[in-house]
Amino acid sequence: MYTNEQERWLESGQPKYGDAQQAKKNQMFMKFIIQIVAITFSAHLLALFLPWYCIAITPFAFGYLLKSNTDFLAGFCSIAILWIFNAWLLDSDTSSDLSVRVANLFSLPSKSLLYVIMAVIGGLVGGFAALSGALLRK
Amino acid sequence: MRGLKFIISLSITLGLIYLLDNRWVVGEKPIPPIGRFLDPFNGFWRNIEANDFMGPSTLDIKGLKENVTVVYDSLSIPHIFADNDMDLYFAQGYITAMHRLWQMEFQTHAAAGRVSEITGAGANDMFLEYDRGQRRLGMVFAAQNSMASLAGDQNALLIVEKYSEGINAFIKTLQYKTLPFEYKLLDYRPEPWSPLKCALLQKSMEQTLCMGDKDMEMTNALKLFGWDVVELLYPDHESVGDPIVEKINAWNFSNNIPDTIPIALPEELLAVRKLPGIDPTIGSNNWAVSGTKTASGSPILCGDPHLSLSLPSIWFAIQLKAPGINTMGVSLPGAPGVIIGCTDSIAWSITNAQRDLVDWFAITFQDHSRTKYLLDSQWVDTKKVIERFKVRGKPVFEDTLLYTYWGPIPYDENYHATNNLKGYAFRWISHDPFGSAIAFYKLNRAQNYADFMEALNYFDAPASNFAFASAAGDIAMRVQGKYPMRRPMEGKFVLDGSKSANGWFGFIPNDQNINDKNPARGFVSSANQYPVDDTYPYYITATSFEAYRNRRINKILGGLNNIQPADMMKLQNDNYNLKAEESLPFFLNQLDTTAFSQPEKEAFQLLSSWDYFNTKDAEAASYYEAWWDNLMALIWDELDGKDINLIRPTTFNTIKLLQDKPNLSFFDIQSTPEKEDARSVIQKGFSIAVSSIAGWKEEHANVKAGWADYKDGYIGHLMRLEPLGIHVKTGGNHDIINANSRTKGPSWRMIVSLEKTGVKMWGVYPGGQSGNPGSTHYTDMVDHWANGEYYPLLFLHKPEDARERQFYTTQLKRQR
Repeated sequence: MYTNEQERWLESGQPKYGDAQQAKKNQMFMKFIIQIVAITFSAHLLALFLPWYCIAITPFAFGYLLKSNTDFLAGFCSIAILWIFNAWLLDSDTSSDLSVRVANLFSLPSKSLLYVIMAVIGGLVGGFAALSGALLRK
Repeated sequence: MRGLKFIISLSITLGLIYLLDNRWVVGEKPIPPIGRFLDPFNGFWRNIEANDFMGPSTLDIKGLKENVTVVYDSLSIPHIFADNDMDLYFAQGYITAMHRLWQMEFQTHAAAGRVSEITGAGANDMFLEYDRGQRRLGMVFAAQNSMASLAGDQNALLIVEKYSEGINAFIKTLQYKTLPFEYKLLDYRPEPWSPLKCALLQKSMEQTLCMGDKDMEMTNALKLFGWDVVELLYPDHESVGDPIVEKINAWNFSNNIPDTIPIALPEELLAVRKLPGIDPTIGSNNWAVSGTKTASGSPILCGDPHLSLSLPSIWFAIQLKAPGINTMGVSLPGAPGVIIGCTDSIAWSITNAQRDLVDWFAITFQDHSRTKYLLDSQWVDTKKVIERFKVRGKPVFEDTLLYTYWGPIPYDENYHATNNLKGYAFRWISHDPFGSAIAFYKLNRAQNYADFMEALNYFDAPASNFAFASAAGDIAMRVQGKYPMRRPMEGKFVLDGSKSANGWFGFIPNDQNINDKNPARGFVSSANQYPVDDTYPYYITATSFEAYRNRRINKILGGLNNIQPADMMKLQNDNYNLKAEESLPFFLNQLDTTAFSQPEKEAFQLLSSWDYFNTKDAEAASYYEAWWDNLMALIWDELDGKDINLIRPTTFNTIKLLQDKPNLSFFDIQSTPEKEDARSVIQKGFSIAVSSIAGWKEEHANVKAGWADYKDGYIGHLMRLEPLGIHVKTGGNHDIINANSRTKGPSWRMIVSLEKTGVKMWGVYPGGQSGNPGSTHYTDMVDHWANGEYYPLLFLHKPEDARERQFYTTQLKRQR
């Protein structure tokens, strides 16, 4: 299962410098994932009751609480995912072509671009809100 | 440092939210609050209806006396069952608003000249200009007069008040998330509905159907060309085909009308950028055949009103049932009751009577201040009304409008006039205090011919030809409206407004209006043609009367016996081009075929072997129609190109002139050095048509210009937003029974068989019951309509009868 070197390291109980860096990376990545999950779910909950700009509230809160090096990205991705997923839910279970008509109203050639624009708009608000939350924490 | 970063980041966040939560206008193009609009939790995505969408099964509603049951059928047509009249009209308002609120409100805003409140002034102030026009034509003035006339009528008041309450009850339920799509796109909210809006909607129909005139145009023509030419180009009566009613010498009354009226020919020619009036290519068909001609032995009534087609559809199909009333048909969103349809014993349908109900009176002002004008040898004060326009994103715009004894003065140095500082007052029948709500209240309850006749006594405008049939076996036609008694030539030219005696001195009594019951030929029909035989005592004039559809209908109906509903469907979709039959052989004979290009040879061959049917794939129809359109423009270039007001003669008369007067000076094309006659102008029209179709083929990479493709029928959204409209492929054209021109056509096709065992109805319209572009019911009837197919419509006696045709049921529960 393990190489000899790994076995020796496991037995020694001493972290190796390179691995420590990797572990920290993993930890940061985990924090990023936790941030995304926390923001997405809580933002979803709030969005059921509040106007659209409530998507700034939870990224701000979790930027503050879970401060990472990737707060902006976490905020951006959370809201982008949340919006794309929910729009897709509504858009996939219909024979209406309203999303195509709306794309055309904005002179967009396809509805994928409408999704991209929507994701970027929600993402930017979420991203900057998360960044602001993180910056608030000393 | 960190604090600064925080402040910058927070400011960006808040700035973004502000930016995305507000509407912006970038280079005349409005952009909705894009964050709010695109948010999938509340934005436009919420207007997308899921495949298994159904409306609510119960709604708790304040304002009902009893519970109301609404059964939706598979076309999403609501069948409303109420225990009393008040709940019935309340529910009609509520349910109509659920499906068509934006349209209802927008149409009444448009009628009232309030579009710029929603859209802003628009490119080159186009929306503001439109709004000013509506106010200047006195649309709000007319609606207010109509409301005042309702005050004395308990039933009429009850209908519009309950209907309005229903709409308002629905409006109160709305949050941003549930707003109709267009409110989100245009970023505004509905305002409370009021009975005045019902009147505005009614007036807007009257504007579409009975605001047409050619007085200024005729006045200019008379001044320019003289009497003989006016008589030649614009005869009052083209004497073609049968009138709607022919009862020679059966009119046992006289008119008692003095026989002259002074015309006020102006010193200079009238130059006014006139607001668009009635489109002569809009018309309608209706007919009823008696039981002697049908297979079932019961009468069949058919109707297809032609209008500008739009989305959401102009009509909303509905059934209304309460004690004393069971009616089914189409309603106008914003007006209570059923406008065209049936009860369980009678059916009716409407076409436009065309009659001239507009006059223009020349006003003599005392001086440039226009504060006084001459009337019966006295200087009388004008009434100044300041109209205010709350243009979106701009300061309030004010426009001063002058009213005279005759009515408002729409055109002056501030609006659309280039030279007539003298001023012309606008006299329109619909400025008079009347409303037609009570006519439909009674019609929707009518059981027989007598009820029908009684109901129509309350119908003033828009003047209409009502076809009627009853299960008892009667058929009838009544040309009903409020018609001024006109002196010969009255209403054809601009009149002298300095004497009140020049005004309408009376109205034709209802019992002297044109009507006919059970004629010997076994059917009644109307298609906007001249209404009556020459022995009718009153002078009749109009902008134009129809010349082709009516003859085709009467010819076919005359030859049919043992009629089935399917025969009537076929007739409503008949594509036979009588105009082509009468003109094309003559046109082809005029052509010099020796110098033809290859495409001209091919077109000539196609046209020579054409059967005159404007079917969808008929390429010859494309050539003929293109030829005719170009020919018309070449012939009347003298009239089209001028700054002054002139109007083209009718299609029928133009063809007659080409045949009878080949050397008429109008056939000369002004832009060419040589002198054209009928023959050479026909030839030029042909060449232009062939090359324009060749251009079309190249542009569309198409070897064939099939008629439906070439015509490219289009049903546009009310806001004229291209992506919200649809293209349709249809045969027919104006002057053909299947009256589908590019953007106009049969807005509703209905067939009712009045069988003793129960009334049966078939119908279809170019759209769908939902006004929501995110619903499958937005356009779900269009394919059937374009293919000439019909839906058998449910006409229920009780909610349970819907059975497998039931889509869902909504209980409206009264809430205390």
